[in-house]
Amino acid sequence: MKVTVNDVVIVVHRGATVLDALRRYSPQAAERVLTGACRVEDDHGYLVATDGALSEGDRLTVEDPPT
Amino acid sequence: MRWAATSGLRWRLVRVAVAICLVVLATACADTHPPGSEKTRLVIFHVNDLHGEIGYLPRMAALIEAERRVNPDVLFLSAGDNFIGNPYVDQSDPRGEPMLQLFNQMGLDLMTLGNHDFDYGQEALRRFVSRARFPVLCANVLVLPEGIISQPPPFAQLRTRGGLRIAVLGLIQIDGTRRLPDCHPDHLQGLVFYDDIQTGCHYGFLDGNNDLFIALTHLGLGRDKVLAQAMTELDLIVGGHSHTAMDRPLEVGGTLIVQAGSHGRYLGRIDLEFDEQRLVSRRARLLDLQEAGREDPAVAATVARIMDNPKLKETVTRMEVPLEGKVELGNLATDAIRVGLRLDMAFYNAGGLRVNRLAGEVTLADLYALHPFGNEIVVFEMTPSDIRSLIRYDVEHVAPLDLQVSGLSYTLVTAPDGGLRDVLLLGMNDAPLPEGRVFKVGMNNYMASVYRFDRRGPGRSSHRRMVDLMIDHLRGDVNVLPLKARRSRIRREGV
Repeated sequence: MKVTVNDVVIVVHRGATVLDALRRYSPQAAERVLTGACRVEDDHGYLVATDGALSEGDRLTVEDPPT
Repeated sequence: MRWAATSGLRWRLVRVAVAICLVVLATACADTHPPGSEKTRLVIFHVNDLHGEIGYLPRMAALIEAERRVNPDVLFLSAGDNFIGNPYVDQSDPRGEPMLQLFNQMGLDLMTLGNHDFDYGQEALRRFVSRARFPVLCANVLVLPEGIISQPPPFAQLRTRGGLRIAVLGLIQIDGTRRLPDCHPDHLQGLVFYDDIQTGCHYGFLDGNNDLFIALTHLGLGRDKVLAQAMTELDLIVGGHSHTAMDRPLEVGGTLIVQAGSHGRYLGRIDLEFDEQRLVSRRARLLDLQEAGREDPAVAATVARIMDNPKLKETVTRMEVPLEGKVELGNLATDAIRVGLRLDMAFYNAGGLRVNRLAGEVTLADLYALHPFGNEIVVFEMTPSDIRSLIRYDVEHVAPLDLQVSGLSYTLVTAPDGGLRDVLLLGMNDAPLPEGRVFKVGMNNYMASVYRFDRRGPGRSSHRRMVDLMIDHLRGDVNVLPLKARRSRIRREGV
């Protein structure tokens, strides 16, 4: 299943959650979301929970961790 | 096409269901607002994806009750996935009973089925539905004779005290390739699921008979948008599944889509106004229950009673010989995955094990502490070469011998400088794994997402959580002694 995180196409397993996609994109970004340092939103700007279900083509946005 | 081939049968079922569905939730008392005489208000409260989280329900109940005291036309809806996530709910007897008690107490009016509502098995769901004081809807499932649950009504029609006629259609999410909801298939035996959008469109006729047409869905926001485009008759979609906290509604065509996050943090509220039974205004918002102060004392008392569940102290197994350290506990965890999911092999990263010793009386609480993250197991098809790439990643990015395994053993062959030369794989019969063969391999979703390795296809969630596999495994006959043996080793080669 393909979704995008910050416009980067990510391939995740079927049945994956928002957290799975974030971890695939960047384990550091996922950790920051889990600790509450930043939030993850969908393409309408709605807050989505890390255990939310994903569908093909979903688009997520998360603040990139500081480099 | 499967849909077309069975449409005759489906429509016969639909007609039967329509008869059943003269579900009279109707609060059929004397009209306080004769239609046409003045504007009629309707308030809809909604939740979704509670996943057993009951801590906010007393505040939720207080808000709903406050509205019911001043407005006779209030609806309270659940868009599914009420179970799985809170051990006090998951391990109650019968499983999920607290959600039933609380929903009945809070006067839930309607619920639609979510994929996780099947996770306790159909018998538990059948019991839940039979004792619920509210209809549980699902239009896109057909229960065959071997299914255990009763055929759910596809929709309900209600008539409010103000004389409004409301139709509510229930739809559940379907995986596009499996044509099943995201749930372990063992729990879906005897059930046939149909495309959500196509099924929804068959019920467009409900619009003609009603003043308000609602889809109560467990599809996820992405799919709800598709539904809104396909069913322009819908006034409102009250959704779930994607755990989206929609602090403002989304309008697609003329349809308003709402969803209330997850785990009970928010209560959705929709205010509708009708003039001569014509919808003239609608407003939707989320109420943040962290900020709501008052609790309903009766619901709070029920929640307190539920949280005092002695079941979590119940002994799952007694270990005469303790299991200690990452190797022994990793062997236990990977055996639980491989046996429970009937796979060829299983892997678990040692960092995912949060307890270092299991001994004596092992309780449910101990097992939840061992696997606190609710990790699900993901299944991949992998060749021996793919498996080597997984082990190599672990060695190079985590630590040598970090990966615990079941269904095979492995040896890391290292050069004098410590570099990895080769990974030798042996099957359970101590013979080398046949190179061309494809194996079914399970691992937790952390590894599935973070680790980089070769595999045949993207993999699929088993929709079984590690903690549940472990509980089931330990309730069986487990010989502890073989778990003491190391299944991975390092062989250092000379120059």
